Amino acid sequence: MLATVLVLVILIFATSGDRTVSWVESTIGSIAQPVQTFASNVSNGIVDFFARVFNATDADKENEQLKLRVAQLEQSEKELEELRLENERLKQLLNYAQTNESYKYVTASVIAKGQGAWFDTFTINAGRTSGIEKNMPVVNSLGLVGRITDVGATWAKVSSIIDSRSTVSVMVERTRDGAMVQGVLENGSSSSLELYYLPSGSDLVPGDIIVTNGLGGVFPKGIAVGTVTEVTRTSGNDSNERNALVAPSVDFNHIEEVMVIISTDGETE
Amino acid sequence: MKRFAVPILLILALYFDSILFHRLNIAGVRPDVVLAVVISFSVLAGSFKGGIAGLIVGLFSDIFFGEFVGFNALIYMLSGMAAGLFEGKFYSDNIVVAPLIAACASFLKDNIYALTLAMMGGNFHYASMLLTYILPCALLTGLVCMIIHIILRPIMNRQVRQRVDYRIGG
Repeated sequence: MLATVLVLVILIFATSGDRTVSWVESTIGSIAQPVQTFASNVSNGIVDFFARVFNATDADKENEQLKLRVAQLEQSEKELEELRLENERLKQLLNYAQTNESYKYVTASVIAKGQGAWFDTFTINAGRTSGIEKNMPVVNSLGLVGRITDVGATWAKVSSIIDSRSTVSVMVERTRDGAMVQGVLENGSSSSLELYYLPSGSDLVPGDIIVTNGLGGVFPKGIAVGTVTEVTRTSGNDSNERNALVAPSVDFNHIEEVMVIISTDGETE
Repeated sequence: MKRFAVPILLILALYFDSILFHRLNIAGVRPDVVLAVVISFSVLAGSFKGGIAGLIVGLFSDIFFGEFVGFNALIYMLSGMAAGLFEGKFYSDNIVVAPLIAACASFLKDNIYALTLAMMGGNFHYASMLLTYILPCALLTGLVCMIIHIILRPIMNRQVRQRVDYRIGG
């Protein structure tokens, strides 16, 4: 037992730093990836069911009862609706890709999320075989999602920007003042971003758009990060003091497809 | 079929924890179903089997969804071994003991996560997390463990009775 504990502790330390995924993890992950994709699709159906039940008005409930009698038709309807929504989301991603043609993207679906609320990470169904490498930026049509932290053959793990360990070098789009945002875990259901290191006397107002500034070697310049919701300090000398709260551009509670920027032809950091 | 009950429950628990409950939860509060299954199984089957089950499911959980390989494995294994100390006919019939252990284990696990995150420079408010996440999750895990224990108890009951008979018989 002691030996097992010792081996596990060594494993934890060995896998907690900056590392590459071992072939064992990569292989097991690749074998499980289709199962995870299937399981993820099943959960979409379950979530849709609950969403309809809880959002239903009286008329909807009556309608729902009728729909139950024609279960087969409802199933088809659900599938069509799912396809329509997926089509809509992919169209948005395509539009984003077309307006940012200097980047090359790989589109992937989110197939699993990290357990619990402590670490905001998720797994996507594309990996090394699609050209994905560690530290590549991940975006969706709304803005910056995160970066790749582990890569297997057909899967990759993404650490989102709202993870409480994540920091991103940013700037205020209007004033071009540089700063840094860090994820903050507020409670089990919500994470947001805090803005730090804004120059003293900088003019920052709620509603200001925060974008990446291209520094730091990971994220290209100009990707939307969030919007300032509350300014807590406009000037001062304490650089560790939070300057503002930032609402992320991306809705991290409903993230289903993402794009990994695998190369930048034009401007990079 | 009965011999597959625990592995099936553990696979389902992994699915619930990592995929379904991430999207279907109450204000972010979700039970640790894997922990609930491991605890319930350990109370019924003992420290050794409970520890092994915790170790295996923890390793799977770490590889597929975890941050560090071995972290969940260690927590689930030790939880299983500790819960296994309560093995015995009296405790396995009791539907309060296993949920109580599961709630305590969930509370400890989340605090270990909080400590780890703090050591890694994570930005979070502990008091807020304690009230809005750690305690509700512990309660929910206990509740789920109670349901699992009610399901698992009759399945495992025959094995427990056989072991008790064997002990009485010397």
